Amino acid sequence: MLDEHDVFTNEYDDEEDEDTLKDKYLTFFIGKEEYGVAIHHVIEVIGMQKITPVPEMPDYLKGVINLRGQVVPVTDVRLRFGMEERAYTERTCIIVVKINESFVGLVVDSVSDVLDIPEDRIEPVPKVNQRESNRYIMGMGKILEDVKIILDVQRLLFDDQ
Amino acid sequence: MEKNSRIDEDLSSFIAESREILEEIEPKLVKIGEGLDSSLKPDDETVNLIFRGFHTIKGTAAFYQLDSVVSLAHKAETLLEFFRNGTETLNASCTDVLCQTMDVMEHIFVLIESGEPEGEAQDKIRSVMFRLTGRIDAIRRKNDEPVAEEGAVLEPEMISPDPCASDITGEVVQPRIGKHVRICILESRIMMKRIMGLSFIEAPAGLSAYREDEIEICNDLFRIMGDSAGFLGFENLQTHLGKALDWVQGRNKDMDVKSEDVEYFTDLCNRIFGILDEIERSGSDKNKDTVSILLPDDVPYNSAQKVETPFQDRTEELTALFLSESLSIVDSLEKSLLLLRDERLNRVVQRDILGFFHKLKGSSGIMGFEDMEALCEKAEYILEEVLDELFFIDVWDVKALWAVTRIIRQDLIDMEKGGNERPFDRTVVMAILHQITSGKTSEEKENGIKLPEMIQELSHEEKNRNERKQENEQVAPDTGETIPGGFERRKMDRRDIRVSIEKLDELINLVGELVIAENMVVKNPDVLGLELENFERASAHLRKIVKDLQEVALAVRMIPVSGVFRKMIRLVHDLSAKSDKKVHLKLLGEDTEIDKTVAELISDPLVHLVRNAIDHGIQKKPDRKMNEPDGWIVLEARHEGGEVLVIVKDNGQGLDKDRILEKALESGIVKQNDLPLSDKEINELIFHPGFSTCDDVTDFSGRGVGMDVVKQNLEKIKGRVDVFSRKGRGCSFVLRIPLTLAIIDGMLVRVGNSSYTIPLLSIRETLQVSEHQVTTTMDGQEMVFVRDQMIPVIRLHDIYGMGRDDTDIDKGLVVVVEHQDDVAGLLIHDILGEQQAVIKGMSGYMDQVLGISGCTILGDGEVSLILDVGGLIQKAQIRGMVKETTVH
Repeated sequence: MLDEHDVFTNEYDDEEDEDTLKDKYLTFFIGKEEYGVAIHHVIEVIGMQKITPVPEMPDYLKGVINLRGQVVPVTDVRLRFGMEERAYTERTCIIVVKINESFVGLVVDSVSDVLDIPEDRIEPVPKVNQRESNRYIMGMGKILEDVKIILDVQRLLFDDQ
Repeated sequence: MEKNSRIDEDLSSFIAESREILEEIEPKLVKIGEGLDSSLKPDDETVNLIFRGFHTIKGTAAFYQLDSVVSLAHKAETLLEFFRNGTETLNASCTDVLCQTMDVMEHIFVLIESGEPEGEAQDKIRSVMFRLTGRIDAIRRKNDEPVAEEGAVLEPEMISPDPCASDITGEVVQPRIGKHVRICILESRIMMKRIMGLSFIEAPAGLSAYREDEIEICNDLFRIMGDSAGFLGFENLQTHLGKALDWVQGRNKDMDVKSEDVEYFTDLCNRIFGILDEIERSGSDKNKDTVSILLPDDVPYNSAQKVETPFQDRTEELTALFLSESLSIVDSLEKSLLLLRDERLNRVVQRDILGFFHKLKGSSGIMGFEDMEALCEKAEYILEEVLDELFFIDVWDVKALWAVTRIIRQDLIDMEKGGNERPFDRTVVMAILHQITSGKTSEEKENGIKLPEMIQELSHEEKNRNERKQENEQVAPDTGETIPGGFERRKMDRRDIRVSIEKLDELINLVGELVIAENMVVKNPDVLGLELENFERASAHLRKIVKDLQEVALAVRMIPVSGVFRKMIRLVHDLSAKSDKKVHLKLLGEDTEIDKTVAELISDPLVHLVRNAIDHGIQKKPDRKMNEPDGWIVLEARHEGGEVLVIVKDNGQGLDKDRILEKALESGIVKQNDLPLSDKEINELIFHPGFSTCDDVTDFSGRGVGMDVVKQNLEKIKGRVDVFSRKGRGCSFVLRIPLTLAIIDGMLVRVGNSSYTIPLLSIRETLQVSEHQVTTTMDGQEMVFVRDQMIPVIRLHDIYGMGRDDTDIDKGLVVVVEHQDDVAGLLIHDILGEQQAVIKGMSGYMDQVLGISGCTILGDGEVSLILDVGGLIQKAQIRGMVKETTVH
């Protein structure tokens, strides 16, 4: 466990890396769709581990995990999107993000890639579908023919339903 | 610490240190002011302590060129000097002024810390300076002592203020030829001209008596001038003005106008004009010429001839002052010399030593001790050469410096004893010094040196002194009751270091993680079930060390509660004066240690509780028929179980239940159908935000915020507050605070698939229940009947809605938990063990869950939730599952 320490400390001083991290997105899969989160939020990606459930939490808040002595709450993105729950597999990952000074883990089906998506390649969400979970979307990132859904982590984690 | 570039680490440590000193002396001052120390002797140690406190601050402040602090401390010292040498006994008005002085200093510190110019506080500084000066003048006037003697106390400060501050005063005054000074001079000139135009000076011969109105005018004018001179630091001018004022006050309308009296006065006025000219010319009133005008033919107003001048007249006080200060310099000097012996090339130390010798030279010169002056000069010379890098400092140089220091100390001690003998032949030393300074080589020096014997002789006395010193230190070692004498001494004697609280927290966190890591290793699944004798032994050792480490780390955060308590001394004093009620404060258990965070958080609640007690609780004297006439407030701290109790008691009128209830109904906090309420419930209403029975808001309380703050702050640290009150008897608030916020002893239990940690402190017992003990009410509430008590059973899964728990009670275990008066049984499936749990807060991202106070990490890395029994019972009650506990 301790060998991950380097990653951990590196990411603490994200201030000065701001430039190099700009326009980079970590992408992951939920179902068939590929989503992206701005990489400066991301602390690390860890495999699935035992989650201790906490009572009286919304269903998407699965509980807490121990990240090297730090207690980190874990949100299942699937459930947050109002999708159907799916059994965790060995590809299931937890993306640990830091926002508003607190760490939160995001459970995703699988992690895909780190991509460069320049600002001008990101378009606003087309206003066709006003589904609930669309408000978590920051924009649609276009890479060649592919489209990645860029998520607004702040809203994803803190917007009340 | 990096708040502002202006604040470097040294400065902020100076501020922290000064604050400590102020905190230290404040309660003592207040105590004296209240007359509790009526047995105060003139040279009482307390006064000395306060004096030294100001002196230390002055010395350090000068180093950082905080002029305003220096001048404030200097004035305070001057005032205290009167009490120290017994001229006057301290009284309440003086201590008040001193307290205000400390407040202003604190204000200046805050300004410095926030990076604002200290000049922001100019108004406050000015007003306090005026008050200090006023007090000092009043005492001087009141004194029947001949004026010349007062001069003697003052004069050395003018020419060379006390050694430690010698270079300060010059620096402070010098740059002040600014607007203020010009205005002051101009004003003073105008006033003086007015005085000179008065009839008794213009035409003394034609008058038989002084005119009352003229005396009055003189009185006022001199006072005004004296104040501004004092404020601007022109002490010589101030002294002259003071004398003039004395003269004026010695007149009255029935007195004959004598020509010699008027002559004296005119002469004095002319001198004042002279000083004003001098100030305008050089910006200082410390010019020798001007000073000497006054001294040789100084005629006191009572015409009693006094010939001695302060230069020749080494008065007792002056000598005593000189001795005590020189001895403290010698102390520091010796410490520095010790350092120098080890690090001969340390230029900082060298410079320090030079500074000390310089100070000694200065003050001994003034006192006329030529031998000492000469010795110091030689020593200075050696060091100057070394510092100028003309010569390498060798062992013999250091030895010579030692010898000089010892001789000086010996001389001082002899003087202190009253003898004037000089037992040591200093010609030898002088010769050696001369050799050194005239540049002989070190071999030659060695030949002519008899230093070792001398040092031996001297060291006898030295040893005695050290022993005495050690004794003193043993009497009051780290109680914090004593402030070491000078600033230099303090610095070197320090046995504690200042650590930022962040670093400490980091340390404690790391230790916490170490505990977890240790658990992970020792209980590693890979080694479980194996017979590993050596591993077991090693891990037992590891466990012990980790446990010790943990204890030490936690103890580091603990501080005595006295710091918080002492702030209340001043508060009670101020409030009791302002509200015109006589209130005494008694502190108990001051040395009880509490967590630093806790100490910070209970400070505000205590202030509110004490304010309330004085404002509402304790009545004015006429209303105190049922109680003893004086009000008392008792602050007490003590450990009880795993908690710290902080108790605030008063002997006031107690809570008025009817009035509270009436107000609560009026404001809708309590609905009519909530009635009747128990006494306890009524008492608890006072914690409701915005609740106040007071119709008019006073300066201190009545807005209904205070008690809410008390409750909020205590909740933050998982404490609680109980109120006990009886009408007419008084009121007491008991704050119950957990000892530490970081670790609890817990029992690890399994409920279903989850494991929870129950704090051991909440557990009364664990029961295996048989079926016949269980009773189920019609709404499904299960009760266990144990030793004549019905205990409601809480099923965790039920109250948290985490699926049905179908276990029969007799298949599991019931942990009987209690919180205050509530008792409940938790149904668990298994006990997994007992462990020290490092409490981790739940992430701020998640909402607080009633009944869960945090979580901890288990040996296997899993997270276990810590149950909060109080919350749990409350929650069960809300759900209607547990009715009020029934006791048969």
